Amino acid sequence: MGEMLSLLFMQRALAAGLLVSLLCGLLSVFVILKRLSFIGVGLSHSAFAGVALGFLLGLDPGWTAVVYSVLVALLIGWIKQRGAVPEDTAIGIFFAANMALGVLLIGLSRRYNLDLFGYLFGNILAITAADLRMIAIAGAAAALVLALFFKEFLFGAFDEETAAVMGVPTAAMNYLLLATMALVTVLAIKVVGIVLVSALLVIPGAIGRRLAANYRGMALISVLAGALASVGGLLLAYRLDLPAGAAIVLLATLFFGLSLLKR
Amino acid sequence: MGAEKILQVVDLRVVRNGLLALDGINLEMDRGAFLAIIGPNGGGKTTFLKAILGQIPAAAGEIRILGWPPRLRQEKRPGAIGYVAQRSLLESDFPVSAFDVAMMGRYGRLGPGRRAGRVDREKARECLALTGLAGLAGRPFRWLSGGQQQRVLIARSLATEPELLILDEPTTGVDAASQEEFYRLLKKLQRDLALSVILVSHDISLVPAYSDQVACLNQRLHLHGKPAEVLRSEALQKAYGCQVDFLFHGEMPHRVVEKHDG
Repeated sequence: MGEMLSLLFMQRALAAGLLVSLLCGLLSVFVILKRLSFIGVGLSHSAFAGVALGFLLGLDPGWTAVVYSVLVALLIGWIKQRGAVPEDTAIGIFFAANMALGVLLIGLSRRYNLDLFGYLFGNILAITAADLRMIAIAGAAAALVLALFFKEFLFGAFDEETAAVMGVPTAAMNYLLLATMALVTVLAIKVVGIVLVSALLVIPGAIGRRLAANYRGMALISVLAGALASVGGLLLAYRLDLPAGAAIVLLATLFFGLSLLKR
Repeated sequence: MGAEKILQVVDLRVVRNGLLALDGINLEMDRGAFLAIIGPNGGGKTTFLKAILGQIPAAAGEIRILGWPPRLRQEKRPGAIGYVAQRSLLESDFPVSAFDVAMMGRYGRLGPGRRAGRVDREKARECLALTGLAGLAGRPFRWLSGGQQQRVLIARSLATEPELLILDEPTTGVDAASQEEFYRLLKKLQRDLALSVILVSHDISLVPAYSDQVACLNQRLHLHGKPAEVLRSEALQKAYGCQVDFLFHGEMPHRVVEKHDG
């Protein structure tokens, strides 16, 4: 254990895993209460095109993914607001189109030595100091948004129409929540990868929802479950030489399974 | 002008999904009045509410609510309207307590980024007490009966310290015995807190007895006046169309009004 913690890459991995899981745990409350799971899947897969864009333009793919995903999130919010196309239809289209766009852009960039597998399934052990810095900065911004507008998000999730009539700027809040979700999704991709990210956004909140009668308890359990899964998964991965992202997600899934035992 | 009339609607026309939902609506409501809007399902009652609340635009005509056009009202007077929506729209197993729901009534007034404080918590408790729920503040919302949930939503709408209370079919899912009790509570709150109330309902047997003004809406505004005049009128039958045969088969609507007059 001591030897493991003295390794620089393990320290970074633990710090990144912990920060991301705390954020995801908090956001997960609204993903569950507002039924945004599918949007989370759409956003994480859209980030792939953002990553590819970074490679093509020679920019930091992390930041291009953030910008791109936030734009996609706002677009999804706009489509939802207008109601011209059902939301799940829109996301189903975004999902595939952005993956295709990502593959196309990577093809154009002629970079074949790219760690695609890492982006798809996560490579937490390869997290750099720059990655960690980005997670800390963007994560602080996301945490600030959640802290400042928690009550608006809560009222909107419970009863959006009434919230709007009684003075909550619900349209702006919806855009803000989606943008925050896009931001956190991109950060989480560094830990568990594009394909597995939605697990971190959905499972912790689902566990909290099962075990708590109140949103405060739900948020607490959600955050704890996320943190426990990411630290535990990382340790397991190190000990047993397993892929870390998959270990984290499967441990979280195990916790969810256990939560189902409660009546 | 704005101080006297809480709501003024002139020649309102609303089009939804390419269809004429409301047309030629003229209506005035005094401050402190209790206005019941009745009419058949699909007659445009909820559309009318959405229009005066600024959630859907008017195709023609003019609306002044609290002296402002609806969209501007949301901006200028965010906490001035307490609202109880149709219950079917609600996530009824949401993980909140009765107190948490009442607290939401403070959020619009506080505005984004500001935390609720002691004053807000006291106000929420006070409003729960006003609706007879002081002892149930900590109870999970989803454990409450339909009637109790409805009173929590009233408490929330009061917590915003409104001038105007708007309720859309508030007794859906509330059993018949609790309905009269609910209307009595509403009437009492209106008097005690000097509120203006707009109540939308398809229930013409009970609601008019508690109101000062009744408007009957079926795409057009068929009637607008005192409850007794409206209920005795031939035009009510026209507004309701075939449904009225069923509703007027017994003596019930007349009986309720006469009891009220006497």
